[in-house]
Amino acid sequence: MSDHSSNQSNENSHQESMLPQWMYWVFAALLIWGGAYLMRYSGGFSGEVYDESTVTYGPVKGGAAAVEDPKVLGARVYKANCAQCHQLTGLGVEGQYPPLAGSEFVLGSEAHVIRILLHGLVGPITVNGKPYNGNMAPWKDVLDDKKISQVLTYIRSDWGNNASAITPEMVAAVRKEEAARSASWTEKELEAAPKVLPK
Amino acid sequence: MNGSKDVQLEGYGDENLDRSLQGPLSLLFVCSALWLVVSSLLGAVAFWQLKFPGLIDFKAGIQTPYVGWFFDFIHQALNYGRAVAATKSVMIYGWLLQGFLGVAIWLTGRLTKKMICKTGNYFLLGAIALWNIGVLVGLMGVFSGEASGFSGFDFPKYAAAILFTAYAFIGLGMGMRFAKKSCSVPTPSEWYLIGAIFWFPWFFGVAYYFVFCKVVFGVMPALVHAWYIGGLEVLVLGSLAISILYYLVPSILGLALNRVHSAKSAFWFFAFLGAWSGVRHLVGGPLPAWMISSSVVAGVLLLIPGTIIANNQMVPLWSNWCKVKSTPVLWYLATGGVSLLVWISLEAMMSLRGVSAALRFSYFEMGVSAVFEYAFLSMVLFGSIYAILPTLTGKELPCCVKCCSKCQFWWGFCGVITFFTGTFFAGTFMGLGINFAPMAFVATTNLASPFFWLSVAGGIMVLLANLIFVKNVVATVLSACCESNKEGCCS
Amino acid sequence: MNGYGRLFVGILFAFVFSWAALILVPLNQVGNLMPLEDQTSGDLNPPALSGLAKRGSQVYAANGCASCHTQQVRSESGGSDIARQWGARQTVARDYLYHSNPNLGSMRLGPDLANLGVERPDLNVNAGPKKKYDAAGLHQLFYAPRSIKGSSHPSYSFLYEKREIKGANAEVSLILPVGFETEEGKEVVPSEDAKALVAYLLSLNRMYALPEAPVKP
Repeated sequence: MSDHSSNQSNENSHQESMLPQWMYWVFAALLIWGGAYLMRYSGGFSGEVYDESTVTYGPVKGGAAAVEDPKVLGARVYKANCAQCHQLTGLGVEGQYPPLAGSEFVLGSEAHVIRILLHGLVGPITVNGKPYNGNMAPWKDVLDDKKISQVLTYIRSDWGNNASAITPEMVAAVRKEEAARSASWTEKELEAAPKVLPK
Repeated sequence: MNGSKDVQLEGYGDENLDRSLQGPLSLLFVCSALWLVVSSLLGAVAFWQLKFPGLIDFKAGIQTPYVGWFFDFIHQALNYGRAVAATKSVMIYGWLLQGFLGVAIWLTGRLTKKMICKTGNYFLLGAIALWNIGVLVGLMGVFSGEASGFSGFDFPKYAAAILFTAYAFIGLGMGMRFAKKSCSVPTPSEWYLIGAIFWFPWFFGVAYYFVFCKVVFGVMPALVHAWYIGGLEVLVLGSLAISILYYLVPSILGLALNRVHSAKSAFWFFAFLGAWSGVRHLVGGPLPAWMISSSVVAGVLLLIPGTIIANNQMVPLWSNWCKVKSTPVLWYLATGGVSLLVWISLEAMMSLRGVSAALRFSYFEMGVSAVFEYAFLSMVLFGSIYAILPTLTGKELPCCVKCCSKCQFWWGFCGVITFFTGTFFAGTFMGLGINFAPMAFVATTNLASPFFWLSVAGGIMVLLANLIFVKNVVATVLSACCESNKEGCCS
Repeated sequence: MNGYGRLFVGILFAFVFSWAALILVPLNQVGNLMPLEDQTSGDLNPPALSGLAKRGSQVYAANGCASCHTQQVRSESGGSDIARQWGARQTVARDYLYHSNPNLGSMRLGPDLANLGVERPDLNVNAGPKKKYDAAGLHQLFYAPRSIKGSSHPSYSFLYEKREIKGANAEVSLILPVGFETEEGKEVVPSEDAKALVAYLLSLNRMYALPEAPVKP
């Protein structure tokens, strides 16, 4: 019967499992090979070099720049900020959060929809003939003009919606005009506000 | 204890400690052995369809309503694609991972010398049952057409969640016992064991999040999947196998446990390189070159720890060859130790871009995964289970089991070599054929044909070995159960 | 911190290092790609997948098609894919922008499908006139693969329904060759899954040029 402590003096395994010296040279050669391979075939660690035989020193040049699709970017903003209430389907929650799909507010005046997003909206509202009563937070301090324009372009184009795109300039114009405003909109106030975009 | 045992393991542990795990681990080993057979049978069904593609397409002939429905289901569930996915997943989660978790639980007991309390034992039983339910649910999910399509991670979302929950109990139990340990110098066996305990949930969790939660699109899920498979193969399954090798080999040979040369540097090489090595499975794929290149380098450099680890195991075995010859358990462990190095070398060779141009996407990959799954992991697992079972029951393995375990070894050993030889030639010819553009694609499979039958022969031998194994495990567990029931009246 | 604490930190670091380098950095490099506008035609590349094709991608994954077919074209130095006219250039991350599972595959018991929706040479002779797969051809391959010479494709007849003919041309029924027809008065129609799968396969087209993967003239 073997016992742990009595075997501490047994040096067999220690002595015999030594690797021969030349193995360490092989290991060193492998490490050097690894470094060389990485230098040669890493494509400069760029995300745009797919063919490993490309020799790159410095950033890759040439080719068309990526086109920013506001709908794709807007969908990301929407998923991160809006989908909790208005849902990924854009159908909202009955009685609480109005739908965006087919909504006359979303598809209607560009100025109105920008105003709602900038300052939020409180109190009862009727969308597509159904009453809703939720609180929408203002987004003017959270999202910049570009992101607001992207998300608005997105909600105006998904779920069967088909309205014109919103540009960051439009958002900036409305933001400037309503700079003095701090309170959220109500449905009544919104009706009174001008429907056309400020120049 | 009687002194005539050929596997003397009780010196390092506490007899009661091992005995306390008898219930849960017997269940676990029986289940995993059964999954092994299920997986080999599924593999056989899949493999035959390569030659006889219409093998299970009964639909045309059968019109009777209920019988027709049954055959229709067989056709759907066992059609090549689904059968392959099922084979791979059952092999990994049903047999390998489950078996090695059992070994890890036993080893945790041995290394921490901490007994599991009665409640803990019930939790463990429950977790093992849950794990097997997870595998079963996942298998049914794959059969009914809900597989995720990521090879090795095929189980649908809900089954993966069940497996994760079951592991949480098992892993937490093992982690807690290590946390309570006061001794401050971990042994080589413990490095790998503790590593695997933590790596598995981390890798699995990240893969689950990226593959199932649909947060990313495009190549990212494929990249995460390759990275996960690398982590699972090397850092989880590989670590567990190496951990038990570092424990069993010296303790069966009666040598010092923790006097092994350069094992520590080997471990850190292994940990850092292993975590990087998964993406090499995507050589030539739609990923920026540096991701694949760095993974290729990591995979090749794995040769360094691989050599050291194999050397640590093989040198003591070689110098005690007489003992090895008379101890079947050591046959398995020695085969596993050598196969580890063979597998690392094969993978390193395959990942080189020039070689991969020809050999990737051919039967050769099947051969390499057979070396990994069978010659390395399964062999170590067979040996460990044969070594662990007597400590659980407190009795020697029944004579017939001992005899059959030798027989099983030779069938399995020859089987996996034959299978690999078959796929090696089939894969090389097929790969070279595909890579030779003037040759018609359809003709490339004909090149592989003669060697295909060699693989079939190897597969049948492996299946036979697996059947012997499940018979052995069940017989051992049953005989222990019967005797403990009888003990009351006999003694 | 004792030996176990240090061991844990090392284990954690080994994981985090690889996670940061092989998941986080790639997420930044290829996780947020955009479609690109072709300067001459004004098309956005890659084109978006239709809803039906997206569903077909799931059918493809669930039936393990990836265990025989790849969907990746390797560079000219990386294999014979381009020489076999399976694609005009190496596939890159942007090509899979709209796919939730890119189905890259790891075996080629069957041909690569990255450009199945484009005309290609016949597999049996690997030369001759190029041919484009159409829905009828694919349905025939899935329902009755034995009717196609030289094919060892498994049958997916469970994705189809055999039923009494209801009305004239009520639905697209399969056109089956001589020797494989159904009984008199019956027709074979594809299920929703089969239609989705075929729509997905026919949508596979990566022949457009991208700045990171130019097509050689």
